[in-house]
Amino acid sequence: MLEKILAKRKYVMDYCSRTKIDKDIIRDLLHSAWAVTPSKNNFMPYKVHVVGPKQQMIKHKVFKKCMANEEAGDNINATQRYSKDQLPNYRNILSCSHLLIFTQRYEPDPNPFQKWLIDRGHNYPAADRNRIAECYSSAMLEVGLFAAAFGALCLEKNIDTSFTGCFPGDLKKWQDIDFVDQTPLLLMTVGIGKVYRQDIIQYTDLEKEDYKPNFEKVVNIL
Amino acid sequence: MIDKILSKRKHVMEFDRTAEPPSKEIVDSLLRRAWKVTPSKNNFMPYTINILGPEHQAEKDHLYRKSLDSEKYANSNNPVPDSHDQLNMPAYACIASCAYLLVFTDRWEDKPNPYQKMCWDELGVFHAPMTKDGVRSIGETVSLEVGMFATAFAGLCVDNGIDVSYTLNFRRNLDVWEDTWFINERPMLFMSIGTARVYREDLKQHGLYKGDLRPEYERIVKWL
Repeated sequence: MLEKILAKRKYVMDYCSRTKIDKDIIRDLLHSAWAVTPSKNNFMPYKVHVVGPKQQMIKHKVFKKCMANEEAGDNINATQRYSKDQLPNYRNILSCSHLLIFTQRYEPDPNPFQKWLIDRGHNYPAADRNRIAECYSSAMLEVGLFAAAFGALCLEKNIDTSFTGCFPGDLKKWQDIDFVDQTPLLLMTVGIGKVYRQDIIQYTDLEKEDYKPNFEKVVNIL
Repeated sequence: MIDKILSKRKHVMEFDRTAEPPSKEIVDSLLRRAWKVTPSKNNFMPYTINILGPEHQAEKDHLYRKSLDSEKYANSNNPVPDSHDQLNMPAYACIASCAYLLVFTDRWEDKPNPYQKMCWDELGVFHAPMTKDGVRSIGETVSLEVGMFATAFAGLCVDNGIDVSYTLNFRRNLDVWEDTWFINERPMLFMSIGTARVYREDLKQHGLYKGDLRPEYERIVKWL
């Protein structure tokens, strides 16, 4: 059953922008994801900022950052890359119902057990504002755990999600969005899909060959 | 339903060494299903899952010791005696006692698929996982994807009555792994699976662990 639900996931290029997901539904799903996602030493060193349907201006700012990041990374003009027949990547950021921006978080108020360990000399960068960069990799892994759980819970309710990892990682480039006050880790869009990537892939034979590495390449049984 | 499945997962402090290990066929089947349903940026899946089975006890014991060493290293400025003794906690015992240990490491793609190849050759789109240095430069993205794979695999395991635990307490720089023949790229996650003997939540009944609560929902999720 779980496998069947997870197999329904399809990458959304563009959402049905008129269909907004009820805030209470998103809240319940996020709460469930929070409840079931494990965290190293229970720090949960990240924060999920939820941008709703009425905050289109923020989504526009994020979209522009992604396009600019692609132009800088590939040294191209994105307007030329995306002709009028093509959907620009990141279009889903504009058309989604809710945009989740994951950022790093440090813990200023450790729980009683964490405090007990800290008093005994345990060293937790996740509880130190000046050292959270040391937790970057593990924070990303934990965001992956959370995002996968949330995505699965959404799929079960026939709500689509997509992930975007191409955005500027430098915090200085996010100064115009004041709540992004720590390093951004992941963008996740939520809504009802209108155009899926697999629909577009049928356009060319070559794009059909964009398959994932086979199982044996990824899993190494020693 | 998914909620119920995922909430069945409990952190295992120690696995039952006397229990019959899940068969390789079952583990392989669950891994294949997780591989199938896990998304990956540009379809690279830039990681390898190295699997140590029941016959690899020496390797698991070695990784158990490496995790203890890592903790000592992280707390090297600590003049206080190791709190494990005070907690009577078999730290990382899950690594030594599990039936299977999955070691996730970086992987670079030496044979890109035709579309990825065309993107590089004709469009000039560089994808970091296509070179060894590239994949090392995006270790955080690899971590994110490993987390997604691990959630799918853990869900499939608990749905089939198999317990899982995660361990992140190890050093990532490759030079400390020269004594470990099966770790040739940067490690990202250890995941142990088997039949639990002691869950962490069982230990909460007995003392300080009671206060070890996750941050409240409102501190993690911020509605704008």
